[in-house]
Amino acid sequence: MKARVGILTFPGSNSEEETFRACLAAGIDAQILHWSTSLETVRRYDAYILPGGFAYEDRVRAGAIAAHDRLMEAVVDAADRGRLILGICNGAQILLEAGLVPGLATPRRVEASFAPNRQRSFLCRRVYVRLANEPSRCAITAALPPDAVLPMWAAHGEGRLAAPPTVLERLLDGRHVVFRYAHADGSFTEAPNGSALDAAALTNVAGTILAIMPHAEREEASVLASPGVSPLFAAFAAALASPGGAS
Amino acid sequence: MSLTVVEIRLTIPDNAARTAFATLTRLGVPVGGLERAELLFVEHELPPAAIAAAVRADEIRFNENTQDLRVRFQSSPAVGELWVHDEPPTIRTIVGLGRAQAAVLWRLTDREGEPANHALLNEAAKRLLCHPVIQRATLGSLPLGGEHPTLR
Repeated sequence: MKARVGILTFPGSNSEEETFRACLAAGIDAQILHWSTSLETVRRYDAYILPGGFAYEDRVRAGAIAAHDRLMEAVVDAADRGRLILGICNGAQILLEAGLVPGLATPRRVEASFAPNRQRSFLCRRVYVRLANEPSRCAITAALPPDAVLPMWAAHGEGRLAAPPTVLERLLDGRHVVFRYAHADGSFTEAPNGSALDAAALTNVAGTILAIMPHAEREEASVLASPGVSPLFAAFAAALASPGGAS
Repeated sequence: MSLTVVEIRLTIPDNAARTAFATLTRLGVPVGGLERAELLFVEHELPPAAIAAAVRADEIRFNENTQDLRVRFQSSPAVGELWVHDEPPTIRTIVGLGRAQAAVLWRLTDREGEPANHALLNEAAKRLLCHPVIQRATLGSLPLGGEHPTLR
């Protein structure tokens, strides 16, 4: 049976429609879930996407309130069962605030942050990201070719990875950095937001969760885009269809 | 140069404080009330009253229709208060005064309406109000004369 993906929204989410269209184009059976949806209904989905935006207006900190929203119980339970979870931009911030990524500690706790950009201003521009490790390190990118370079849109005020040095070491040792910022030719570049390790995306220990700051789903709607399906969403579709992808 | 601490709080309902209160309650933190304010740490030779007047006159920093302003007598948190500083610090520019560090003040009460004690402040900071990596909290929960503990 085809996996069903819930695109979970909170008050202030704003990228769910683009995310839905990117899923549709990639052949993913997805549905946008309003924050008033019952927890029981949300639990019925096989995988989740947390889209971008400003959940709860970034009150307290970006992602901090949504990370403790009742609907996140379904996401945390799914994460514990090895289900696939993709968080984009604000969704990525929520995953870090929930302690699901990088997920080094037991019990789960907040270990890192997508903190305010080094320049303390909103970054809005087209960027390229390149796989920093073997594609299979994260199940969601497993179908991408090695060293894949993907165009995306950075649109965030808080996308700078920050963590204590010991955690950064463990992120490197455990190959948690899935994507690093790159030039169009694939050569790595300094992160435009000052992100530690020049990281654009992180995964958890098991490689089942991807927290990515740039918006892959907006490429589909961009006038600069290559025609076709977003490679990241195509890879996500492949992961969902693979044995164990939605189990 | 002397340090003047200016507190700016909303006079209209504070949605951020209400949301934070609801979230802390949901997390089981026994908080009875929660208020929020912005703190500006102004180092300047002007007297506190003149600094307050300058902040009031800065329409970016202060809106008299929705905010209230006061100068703090102490440059450390009072009992029941939690001051959260970003690391690196958030800097605000105030017209006529220049740059000032900013922080968020959370004023907590317990379920009896008393100022929050150290344990409650500590729990609220750790569970929600202070990020362990990018923020630093100072807890105002010791008797007068005691050194204020800092939580990272």
